[in-house]
Amino acid sequence: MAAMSGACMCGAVQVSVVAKGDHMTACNCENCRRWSGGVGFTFEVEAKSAEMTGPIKTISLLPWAERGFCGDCGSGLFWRVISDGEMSGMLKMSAGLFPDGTGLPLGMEFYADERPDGFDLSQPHKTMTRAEVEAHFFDAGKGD
Amino acid sequence: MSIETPVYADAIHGRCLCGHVAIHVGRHRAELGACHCTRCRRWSGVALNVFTAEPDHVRVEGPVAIYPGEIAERAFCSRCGTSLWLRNPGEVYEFMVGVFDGAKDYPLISEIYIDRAFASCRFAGDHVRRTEAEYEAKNPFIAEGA
Repeated sequence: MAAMSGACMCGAVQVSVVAKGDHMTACNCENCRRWSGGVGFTFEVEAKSAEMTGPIKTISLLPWAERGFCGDCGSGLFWRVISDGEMSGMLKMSAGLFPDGTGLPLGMEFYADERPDGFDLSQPHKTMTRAEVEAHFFDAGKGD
Repeated sequence: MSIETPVYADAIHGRCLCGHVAIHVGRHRAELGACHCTRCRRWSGVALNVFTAEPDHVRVEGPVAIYPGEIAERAFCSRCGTSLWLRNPGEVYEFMVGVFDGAKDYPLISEIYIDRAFASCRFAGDHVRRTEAEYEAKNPFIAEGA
C-alpha cells in the first residue's frame, strides 16, 4: 500500500505512514473517549516505516501503551504498544490527520456497549463489547 | 430537543486523561454539536463533538495549554494532550464531551461541515445537518480553507 501523508492541526507535526490493515477502528473505551474528547478513531500502520517529525510529546499512563500528541496544538497523533508480547510495537494513527480519513471504511468498533448516544456510527461495521474486548486482548478487568 | 429550544443542565465535572486538569461547569447546554471541518478533524482525530457553557459558569484547574487558532483558541492538557475545549476569546466555551463523564449521552442536535465528514464517520439520527457552504453562508467570518 502507498504511503499516506498527514499533519496535525497547526502543521508543526508531519507524518507519513503505510496502512497495515484495511479498515478504521472506533474505540469508545473511557481512555480513548477522554483523550480524543469523543471517540478514538484510528487505523493500524506499519510501525517500522512510519515517519513523524515535529514537536511530538508522548505520555504513558499505563505500562503497555503510550499516546503521542503535538506539543504545540494538542492534536492527538498516535497510540502505540510499548510492552513486550504479541502486540509489541503496534502503532495506530489518528484518522483525522489524513485527508479523507485515509479512505478506509469503518471496520470495527470497540466498547460498542459504551458508545455515547451522540456517536451513533451508522455504517455497517463489526462491534465488540467491553467484555469481548477484554476477553480477546486483556485479562478481564485490565481495561485499555 | 432541537436547535431552537435549548435544554440546560447544572453542575458537571470533567478531567483530562492524566487527571491533572479538572474542569467544573455549572449551568450549560446539555446538547451536542458536531463538526467535521479539517481543523476539528485533525485536532480531535475524527469529528469534534461539543456542548457549550457561559464563561461565568466555568472553573478550570491544572496545566492547560492554549493554541491560539485563527478562528478559535483550542485548549489541551500540556501533560497528556487531552483535547479540552475550543473558544473564541470572551465567548462561550465549547467543551469536548468525552472529558465529562456526566455528558456522555447528551443528544446530538447538529452536525456541520457534513460534506467534509469521513465516509467512515456518519452519525445516525434526524438532527440538523449543514454543509460547509450552508454554514459559512450564515457565518461569513469563517474561511475554513482546507
